[in-house]
Amino acid sequence: MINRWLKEIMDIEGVEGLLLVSDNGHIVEKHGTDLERGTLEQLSKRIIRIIAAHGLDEKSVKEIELIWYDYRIIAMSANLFTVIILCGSSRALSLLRITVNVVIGHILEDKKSMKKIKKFTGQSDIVLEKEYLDQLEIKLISKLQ
Amino acid sequence: MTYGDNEQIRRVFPTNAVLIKINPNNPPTESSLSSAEWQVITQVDGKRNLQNIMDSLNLEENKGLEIFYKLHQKDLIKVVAEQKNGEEIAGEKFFIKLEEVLVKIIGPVAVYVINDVIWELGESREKFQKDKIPLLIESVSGEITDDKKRMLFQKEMLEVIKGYEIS
Repeated sequence: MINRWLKEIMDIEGVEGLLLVSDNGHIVEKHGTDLERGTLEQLSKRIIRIIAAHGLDEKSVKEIELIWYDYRIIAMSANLFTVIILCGSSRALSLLRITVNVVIGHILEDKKSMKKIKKFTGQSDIVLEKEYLDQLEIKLISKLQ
Repeated sequence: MTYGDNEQIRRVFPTNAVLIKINPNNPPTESSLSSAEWQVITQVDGKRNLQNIMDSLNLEENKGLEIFYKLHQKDLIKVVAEQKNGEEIAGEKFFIKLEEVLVKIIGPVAVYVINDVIWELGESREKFQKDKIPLLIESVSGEITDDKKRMLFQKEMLEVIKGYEIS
C-alpha cells in the first residue's frame, strides 16, 4: 500500500527520487534514485537535524525546501517520519506539495505502514550529538535558546 | 537559491512559457551584468519564451530561472505575455466542484475565500488556466486553519485534479 502512495508522488513531473525516512534519518523506503545509500543518508540526516533543531524550541517545521547538488529538495515531515523528494524540475511544485501532504495523511492512517516506520524510529539524540552539527546548525540552535 | 525563492520567481514567471523582452527604457550595459546574465540577455528577443531560451543555452532550469529573475529585478527585461498555444482554461465546472468541496469543509464562506484567492493570484474565473489549478488549491488550503480539514480538502481536490490531467 505504502508503495502505491509513494508511486503517486514519483509520477509527478520533475520528481526524480523519493525517500521516506524515520525520525532518526534511517531510510525506510527509497524510490527512483541511483545515488549511493551513504550519500542519501547524509541528506536525510541533515534534513532530520534541521527539523530537530527547530523542534528544540517547539517551532515545529513541517516543510523544508533546499537546493542540494543538482536537485531541489522538498522535505515534508510528520513527526515520526519525513518524506524527502528529489526534484529535477520545479514546474509542478504546488501539485507535488499537495500530493505529498495527502500521501502523508494516508500513511498516518495506515496501521501497517506506521508499524513498518516505527521499527526505525527513536534514537534522535544520536542525530543531534554536538560533534555532528556544523557551524550553521549550532548558530541556529543557539538562537533558539 | 534558498527556501522560498522559487515562489518569488514563480510570481514573476508563472510558467516557463512566458515571453520576455528587453526593457527599452533600461538597456543593459556590459558592466552591470555577469557573463551568464549577458549570455541570457543576448537571447531575449520578445519572440521566444523562457524554456526556449534555456534550451538554446543548455541551461538547467533552476539556474536559468535564477538568471531571468535577477535580470527582471534589475529591470532589464519585461514579461510580455504567456504563450497561448495549447493553454486550457479550468472552466466553470471546475469552480463549481471546488466550491462544493470547500463549502462542505468550511461552510458558506468558501465562495468568498475562493474569490479572494483568485484575486490575490491576479486571475479571474473566466480565464483561469488549467495548469494553475494546483497553485489555486494550495493557496486555498492555506486559508484553512484546521490541519484535519485542510488535509481533507486537499485529498478531495487531488482526486478532482486527476480528472484534469495536470502534470
